Amino acid sequence: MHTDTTDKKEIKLFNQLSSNWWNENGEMSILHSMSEARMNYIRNILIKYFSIKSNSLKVLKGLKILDVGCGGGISSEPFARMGAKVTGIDLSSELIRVAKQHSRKMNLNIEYLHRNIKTIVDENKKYDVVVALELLEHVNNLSNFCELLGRCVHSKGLIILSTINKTALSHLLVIKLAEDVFNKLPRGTHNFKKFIKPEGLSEIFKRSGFEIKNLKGISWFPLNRWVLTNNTSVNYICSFVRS
Amino acid sequence: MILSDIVICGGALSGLTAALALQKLNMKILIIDPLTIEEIIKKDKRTTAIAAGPGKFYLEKGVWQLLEGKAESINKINIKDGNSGFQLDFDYNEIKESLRSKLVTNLGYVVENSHLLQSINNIIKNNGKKTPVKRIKAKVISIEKKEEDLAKIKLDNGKIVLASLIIAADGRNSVIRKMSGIEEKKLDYEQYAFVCQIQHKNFHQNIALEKFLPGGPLAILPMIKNEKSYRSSIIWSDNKEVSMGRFNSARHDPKRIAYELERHSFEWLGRIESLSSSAVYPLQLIRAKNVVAERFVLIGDAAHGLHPIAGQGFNLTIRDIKIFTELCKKRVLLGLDIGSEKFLKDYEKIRRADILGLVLATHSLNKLFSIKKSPIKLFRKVGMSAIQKSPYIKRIFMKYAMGL
Repeated sequence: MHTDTTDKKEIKLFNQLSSNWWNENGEMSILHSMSEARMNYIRNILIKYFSIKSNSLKVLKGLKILDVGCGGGISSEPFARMGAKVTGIDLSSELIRVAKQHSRKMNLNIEYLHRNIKTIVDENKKYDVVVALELLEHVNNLSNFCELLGRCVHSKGLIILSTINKTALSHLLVIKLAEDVFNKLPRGTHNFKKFIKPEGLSEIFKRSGFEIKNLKGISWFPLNRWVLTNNTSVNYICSFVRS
Repeated sequence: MILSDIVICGGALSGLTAALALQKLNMKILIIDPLTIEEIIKKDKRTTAIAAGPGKFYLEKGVWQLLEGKAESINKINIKDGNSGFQLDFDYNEIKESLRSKLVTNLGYVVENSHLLQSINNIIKNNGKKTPVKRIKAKVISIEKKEEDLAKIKLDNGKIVLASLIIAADGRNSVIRKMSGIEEKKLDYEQYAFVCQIQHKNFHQNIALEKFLPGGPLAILPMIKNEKSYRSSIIWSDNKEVSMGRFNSARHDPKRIAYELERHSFEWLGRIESLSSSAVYPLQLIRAKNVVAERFVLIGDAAHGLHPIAGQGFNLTIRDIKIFTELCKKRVLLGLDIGSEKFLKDYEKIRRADILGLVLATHSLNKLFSIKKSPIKLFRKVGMSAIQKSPYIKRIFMKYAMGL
């Protein structure tokens, strides 16, 4: 069986994008502007799930988080600011370099590793929370990848994923409009075949003993604002726990 | 090298108030000012009128409790047009019933800056057991911003400070604003304000007067009594020559200026016994074209210097600070960078209407009342009497002036 979950072409593309990763107005602007909605979801779900006192400013203190496909660290840094002990892994060596450099500038202590998820599993490392944000649409062999994610998380831990739904609307918005017409995203960033519906994801995780705990849509509102909604037809974010 | 989350340039009234508000975010805050707080307190002889809304902010922070016996309340504002005798009254009792907050017990306060600064500083120190606010006595020499980096501030003592966010709160002629490359729009009013304190025979009955005279507006604000006598604060705008003349006679011939003031105030203040703390300064409208830049935000007079005509300048500053703090808190809770340009631009969008609105309103108010042509005079008279006669419109005006 073919078990490699990496897509070499994608890594090459992301290596090229690395220099502009932290520019809020550059190619990664959408990832940056989505950050607030994503962090809102993650903060709330973690507070509820781990019964954390929500008035603390360092709410994630004591939690070990693995950020799979961390890129330049757009999500790892907020996790660290919220007090979590963060490990970020990515297959692009360029992006890991960018991430390390940026976190140093921001005076944040984050462990960034140029590894794949398989290595983490082989090293038998476990985390309270495993996140893979805007990543699933870029991996090969999704079911294998999801199984590996499940093996990195503690028995009472949580997996949080955000990705793009496989609908006619997402095809139109993400590929036709964002990439081809408005150049909001670098052309070729996404491949519609790799998009997946939440039901499909649930089905995959069921096989490794996980069930979906929570599902929300992330929708774009005019003036470049992303908000959490119940409409999951384009972007969505969800959590899985062991059944 | 000093690392800080927030650096506040300017440690006077706006800067200290910003530090007080932001303290609850549990971040590293550093104030940089060429003067120590003691030096500022000693130097600042001015008084500030604080409307009820902003006053509530200080009350919630505990600042107000420390000002017990040091601030005077305004219960009634008397607005007069020229010498026509036409007037408009704003009385706290008329609005009392319609206020939702029980904390608002008057129209506003008048307090000497030195007392206010002292109290804010004490509260910051007291909260500081949990989240200390540091202060360095130094001048900023340069600010460097490289893309995606923290801001780098060089000080005249050779030290370097790195910060996620710089707040410029160093007043109208903000040096930091210039360093940040933000341009400003300036408009000279060709008016100067003469300010002083008067000691008078009668109790002021907590009445504030705003009188629109042909040369410019005269404001008389009730101050707290000192050991010797009742006091009020004067802000009198006029052309340069007249204002300079008033300033000179305040120093050399105080009886003359006292006599001139008595014409407008004798009926309730009685004899003016003496004058003190006089000063004169040019009136200018300053508005920064932007109030943010990457890792930069302008607050208070550094962002907007208004005409003192309606006493709205400081209200605007407090609203800047309150709204900015609330937005920052949301960001900090999610672990997001508060120096992000996108975030700061959002803040700017939210503030734009309020700032621009007040800049225009105070500007036009001054214009409106300095016109001597009779149709405008009639218009003013009709307008004022309409407000005076309609309790509803009057309440809207009052609430606005109170910053509620």
